[in-house]
Amino acid sequence: MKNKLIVFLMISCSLFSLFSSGANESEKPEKLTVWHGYSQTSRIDAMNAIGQKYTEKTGIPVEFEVVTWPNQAEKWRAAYAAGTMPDVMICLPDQATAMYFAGATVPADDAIKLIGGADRFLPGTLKEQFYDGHYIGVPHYAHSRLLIYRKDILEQHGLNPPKTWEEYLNVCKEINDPPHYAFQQLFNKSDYGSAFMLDVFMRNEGGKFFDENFNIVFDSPESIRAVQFLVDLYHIGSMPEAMNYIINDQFTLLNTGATYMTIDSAFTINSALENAPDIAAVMDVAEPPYDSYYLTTFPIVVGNTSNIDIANDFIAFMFEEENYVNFLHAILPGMNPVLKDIEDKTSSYWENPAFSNPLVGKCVDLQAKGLVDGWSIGFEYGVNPFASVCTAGYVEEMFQKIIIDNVPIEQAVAECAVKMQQAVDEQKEALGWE
Amino acid sequence: MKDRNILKQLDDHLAQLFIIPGLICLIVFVAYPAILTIYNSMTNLSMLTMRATKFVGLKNYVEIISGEEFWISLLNGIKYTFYSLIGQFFIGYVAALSLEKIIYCKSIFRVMLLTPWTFPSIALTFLFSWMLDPSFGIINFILEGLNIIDNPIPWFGAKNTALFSVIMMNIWFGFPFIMLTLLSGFQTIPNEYFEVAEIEGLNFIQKQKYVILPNLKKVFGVLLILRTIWIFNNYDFIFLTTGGGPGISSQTVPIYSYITAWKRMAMGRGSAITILLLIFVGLFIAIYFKVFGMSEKESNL
Repeated sequence: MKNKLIVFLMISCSLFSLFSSGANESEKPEKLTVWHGYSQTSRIDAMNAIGQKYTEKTGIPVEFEVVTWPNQAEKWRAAYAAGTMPDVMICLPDQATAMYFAGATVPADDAIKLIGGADRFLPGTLKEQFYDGHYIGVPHYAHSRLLIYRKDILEQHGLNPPKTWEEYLNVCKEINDPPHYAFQQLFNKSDYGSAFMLDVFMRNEGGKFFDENFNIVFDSPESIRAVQFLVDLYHIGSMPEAMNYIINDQFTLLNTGATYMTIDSAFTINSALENAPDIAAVMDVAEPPYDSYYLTTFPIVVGNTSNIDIANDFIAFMFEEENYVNFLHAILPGMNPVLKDIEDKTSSYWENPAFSNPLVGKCVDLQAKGLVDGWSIGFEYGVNPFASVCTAGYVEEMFQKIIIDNVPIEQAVAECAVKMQQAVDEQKEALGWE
Repeated sequence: MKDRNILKQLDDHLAQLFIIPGLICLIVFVAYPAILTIYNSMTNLSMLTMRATKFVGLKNYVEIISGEEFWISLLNGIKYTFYSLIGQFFIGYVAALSLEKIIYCKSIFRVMLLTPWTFPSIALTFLFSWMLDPSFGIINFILEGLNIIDNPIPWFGAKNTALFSVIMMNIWFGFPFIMLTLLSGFQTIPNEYFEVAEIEGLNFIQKQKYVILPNLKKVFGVLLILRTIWIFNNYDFIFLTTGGGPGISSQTVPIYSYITAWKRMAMGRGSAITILLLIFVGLFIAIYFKVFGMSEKESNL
């Protein structure tokens, strides 16, 4: 009897250890899938290095996939429908909210806690992630839009960097010298360059895309004035009939001397420093000529997959000082830190040799100003699922109609507002919102 | 006896057995998505929530057909297909004839002329976007240098040139396929026909009319059907160069469907557009088949 008991206990222990070790094995995922929109080699390398270090630390392979910003909307939807959502995704704010409302992602509260809590983040950087008591994502980095200009050209004409939009228009008029243009309007429907620019001008005029109930109020007199301003700007200082430029084309246009000014993030300066040092040497930056800064944060979201805990852990790992600073240095200037301790002048972030160029530090400081007060397109009244309507091509189509088909501005704006409202209504209906 | 019966049965139904794998693939990869798309087209399926909350019947179809955007997109698609086909067939035919005549370095010329067809569409669109760029494109540079134009032309960005530019790019890309297929077709024409043509003293044009074209009629038919389907459904060239703009001047039905379903998130309406596209392409193909079916009857007589 005693022997039987011993044998029974031994078998039980063996089975327990077998199953418990099996359970441990099954808890560890085969791999962690991470999608990001970073298409530049330096940022891909920086992400890969973080992934490699994480694998060394945990034994979990990290598989990265580059999904460019304009392609993310369809890619995650297809993945969600197929049940192949990534565990972690770095995206644009409007997509982060769209994913959250679709149930494709889960709150990133645990990731925020693991990083050190909301207090560790710079004021303003979390405001576009907070909805209904939860954080939709963790901002990876942030930037705001600056006035970027060719100081040599402005000096030649005896001009100062413009401080108001009227001055901006006048400077464009003065320096426009075809085939060198003052400024390039971005009207391509497959991108959202016009929507971004219009948002900037609308804020200055007091116009908005949405009211507090998320109904379209884009056809207000303020918005019409902003549209008129952009049309005037096109006629004064932009290449005629060039309707297919996208946001990324700005880099090439500035670097080749085809254009002299832009309103964009410090990525533009980085591109010039890397690819056209001669042009970078005659470039300068200033505060944009409007009151409300234009903020863009790039949220990291947690996919609604079976690896949520590991995903949170990996996100926290990305924010460990060495990893985070190395990533931010991949494009400098361009990506501002979102953590207070990293932004502090004593942190290792400021030890990069690139800061020996005063233009780099100036860009970072100017961008930092926009982090507090700025907001992203469609987020005037906080986080909502409709912001992506603003970047869905309606605005670009409207500008093309005004410029190419000579449709009166009021009519084009009204038609655009109707289409956008229809899209919002359909989405509200789908979400069951009143 | 029993074994022989089984073998006979198997023999009788062998054809049906071979069809089964193809049929399964057809059901899984074609029939199921097609039925699902038809169903989706009658719902308010939104890409925001990834679900439909209402069955709307034919509402989506009525909205699409009653709006001008669909008809403009359809007309653009017809223009894009028609001019691309004309250009590709003309250049492809001339190139195939030339390759037939060339004696030296035939393989080198053949490979060179085939090169455009090997380009991935993304590389091709980047190449043309750079060449035709108004600020630093080589085409504008050459045309300005030759005093043909005063100011650079934004080929893909201007209303009057956008669709034309994509058509030119498509012709350059697609003619090698026509050339290669026709070249294979030439090999099937018996040499005796050409010898008789020589003896009869037919000139170049007459040889085309009485010898080559009648013998390549079916090859032309197949090419026409395939290229029509491919070009009419082509999406990437236009999307990557003009995005369907300016306005909707180069927007075809597949682009309209994509914008509606993915950018405007109305997947229900987007599905309805693809079903309408399917109907129109089917209609074109039916017309082609009818034309070629009639010719077959004539030749049988």
